[in-house]
Amino acid sequence: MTSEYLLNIKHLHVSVEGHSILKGLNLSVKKGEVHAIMGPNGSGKSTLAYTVAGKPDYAVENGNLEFLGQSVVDMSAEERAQLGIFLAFQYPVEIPGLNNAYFLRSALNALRKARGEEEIDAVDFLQLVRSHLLKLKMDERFLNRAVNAGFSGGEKKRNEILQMSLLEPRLCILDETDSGLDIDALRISADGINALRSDERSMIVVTHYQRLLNYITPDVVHVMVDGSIVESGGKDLAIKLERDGYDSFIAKAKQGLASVIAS
Amino acid sequence: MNQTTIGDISLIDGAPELNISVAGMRLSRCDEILPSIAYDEVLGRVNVAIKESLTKPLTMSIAREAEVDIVIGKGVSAHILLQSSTASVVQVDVHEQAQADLYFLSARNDVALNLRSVINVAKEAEVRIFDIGCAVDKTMRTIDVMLQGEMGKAAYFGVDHLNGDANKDSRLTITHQEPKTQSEQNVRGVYAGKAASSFLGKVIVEREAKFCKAAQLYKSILLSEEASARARPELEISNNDISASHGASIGELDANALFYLCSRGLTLPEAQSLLINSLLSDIFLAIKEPSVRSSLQSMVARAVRQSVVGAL
Repeated sequence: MTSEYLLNIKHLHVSVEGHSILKGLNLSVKKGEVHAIMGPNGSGKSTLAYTVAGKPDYAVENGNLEFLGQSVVDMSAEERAQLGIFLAFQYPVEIPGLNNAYFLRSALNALRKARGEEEIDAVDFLQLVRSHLLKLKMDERFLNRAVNAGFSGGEKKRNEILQMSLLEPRLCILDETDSGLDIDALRISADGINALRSDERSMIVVTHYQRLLNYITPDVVHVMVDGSIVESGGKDLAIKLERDGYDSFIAKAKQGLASVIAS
Repeated sequence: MNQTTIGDISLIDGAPELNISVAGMRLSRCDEILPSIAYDEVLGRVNVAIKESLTKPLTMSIAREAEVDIVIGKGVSAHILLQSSTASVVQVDVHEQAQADLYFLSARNDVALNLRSVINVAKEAEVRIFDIGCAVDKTMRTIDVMLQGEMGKAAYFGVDHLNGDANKDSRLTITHQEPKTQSEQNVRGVYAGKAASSFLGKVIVEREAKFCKAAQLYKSILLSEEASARARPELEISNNDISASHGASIGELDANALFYLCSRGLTLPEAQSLLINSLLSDIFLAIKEPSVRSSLQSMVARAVRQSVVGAL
């Protein structure tokens, strides 16, 4: 049944600036599940994240990309966000001059407007955002700074998690949320992410290293090599990867490609 | 309500606000201090003298072609808003140790405008000029700032938003005539539709004006392929003991930042508005008077929003 899947990706081919990056990727995520996607540099993990979020210039050449049973291929980034897709960026964009609280309220109101709900005023918003800050053990000074401008790596990632918490998406894609974090910042971020796990919300955790998965236990682990998923398994797969590295999977992918060419 | 008429000047005294209209020029303020005003009918010239510091901003709307002379007395501090909906020449003399914050507004003009301002800055005086324009027609804007006394300071902050077929030619000249004078130019342009802007920012440092500082910064964003902007910084320096810097950039809105905002559910026009307003924010932050800051900021934000929504 398709309907049990929140996200359903079939034979997805994506190119960026004329380069083919995703080559027939399949991925299905059920409600409430946490999937980890691991893979060597350049395997297309971030491309997958951007494609699902709807980044312009990420051209779907072939295949299906369905969210909540409908194709999102022709939807803009804002339409996908309004449906409940959220991407926590690997490199959150710095926007000097844009107040973080104002940005958060604008984003929340954009989603509310799209759902036909009333906009939230500044007073109610402040109360709401404070409750999220408290839940994530974050300081209120985050609100009065410019969006990500001059934030440390850890602060930027936590600001992503704050947005995720406030906007209450159905699907969270975390693109290398662990990169550039020291062990304390990693644990704090992971705590924030875990606080947002629920039966109604699914997550895709894109990571290069296994260490984030010590804190966020995935239901399914996928190995991605050269634009497609070559192996899927339970959380033990991540531990095996940490021990053995990606070499055997890369070799397998090459062999697969060689046999395709030979045939 | 008391109404006093001095020649063509009528003073309407209604508590708590005092309105003064002078030959098509309206002054409105709520302040206990009244500037002295004279009108020369033959020359069509209005003289405004401010002899005591104003605690609240003074607003002047110039609705008829006029020449306006404003004198800000020694040691006086004042915030003055000048709104022009017609061609005008405004001269401001900032006397010794005075502190003037001048706001020149030309809101969405739909007739051609020729606006000229001359600002003379005396010894140890400081002027901060905010030149805010949202235009849809032709505008010729000339500003001449003369730093006439030692240690005088002038800062020019420009926000320029053009849309439609608007065409604006701005010429700003700051002349350092005396030693230890300082000037700063900080201009932001946002151009939509088929708008064309040309900005000449000139700094002249005369031979006797040693130990001066001058800085120029110009940043512009083009919102459409048909919009155009030209920025020309010019430095004319006649001595070696000065420090000067300049920078200019013309570009588009950052695609990554737009995607970031849209990925949070903001529509493209909302995302564009937020980014444009963030680009302009440091100019508005320089406005010390909170009421003036918020009204000017929302005036520009409204115009920007109209432009980005209209562009879809």
